[in-house]
Amino acid sequence: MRVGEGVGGRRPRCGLCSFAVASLASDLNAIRSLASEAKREREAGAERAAKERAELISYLLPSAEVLLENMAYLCEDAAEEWLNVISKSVESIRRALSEEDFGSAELRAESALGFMSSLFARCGGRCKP
Amino acid sequence: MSDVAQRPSSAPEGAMERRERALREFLTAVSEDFGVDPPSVALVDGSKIASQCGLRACGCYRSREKKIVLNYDCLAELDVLDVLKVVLHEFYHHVQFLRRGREAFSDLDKPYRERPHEVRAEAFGKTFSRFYEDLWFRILGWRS
Repeated sequence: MRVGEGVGGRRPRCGLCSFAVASLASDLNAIRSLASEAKREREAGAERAAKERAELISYLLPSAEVLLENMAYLCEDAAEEWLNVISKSVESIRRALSEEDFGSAELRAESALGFMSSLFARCGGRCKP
Repeated sequence: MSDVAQRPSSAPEGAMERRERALREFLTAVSEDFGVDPPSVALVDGSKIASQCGLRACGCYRSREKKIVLNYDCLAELDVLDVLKVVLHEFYHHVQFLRRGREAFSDLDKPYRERPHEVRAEAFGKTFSRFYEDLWFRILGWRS
């Protein structure tokens, strides 16, 4: 399925897809870094610092989720399978976070980031100035 | 209650009507980006907001009427970018409702800040306000 055509074959506003993809990449990158730090803090016995990093991740997750929720409407050629893969990764990050498995959260964020270049490549199609 | 704004004592004559028109223009543009029909919008006096939204609200979305109601007096106290976040937050409730119907708001039994649909709307406002800042200033001309 090709998504992003919205109602009546409308075109997304120019720059909106790139903005959404860049914001999502930025959120995922921050989540990965924080999960990595949380893992290190826990290994070093700094449990409180690890929990603080986890709390910061929980503030970033809704932003990533809302971007994913709307990507299909904003990027003309965003392929559904990539969005699904990234969405599953974000769901896994949330689950890993609730289990305080920071290593898994880091890996999932890393995995989602791996698909971002595919999304980026799909920006810049027809758009409305 | 009609969509005609009730001018609060703090608003200069015509200001509310101009801002309501600008809000309508802004929301029409954003609605087009998200592939939804625009919501209607009403700016109301702070003293009247309780009957529309509940006490102390800066704004709300009334799904039955597909209408965003904004508290003029409350917004007047906010930084202009925070006003944009409020508008986008309420706009996202409109999107949620049009995409999922009443089910979108099925978490009302939870405390306000723990409701997923509110958390998402808040995230939407914060995230997309960065993109819509220019359009917002251009249409509303509220840069101080």
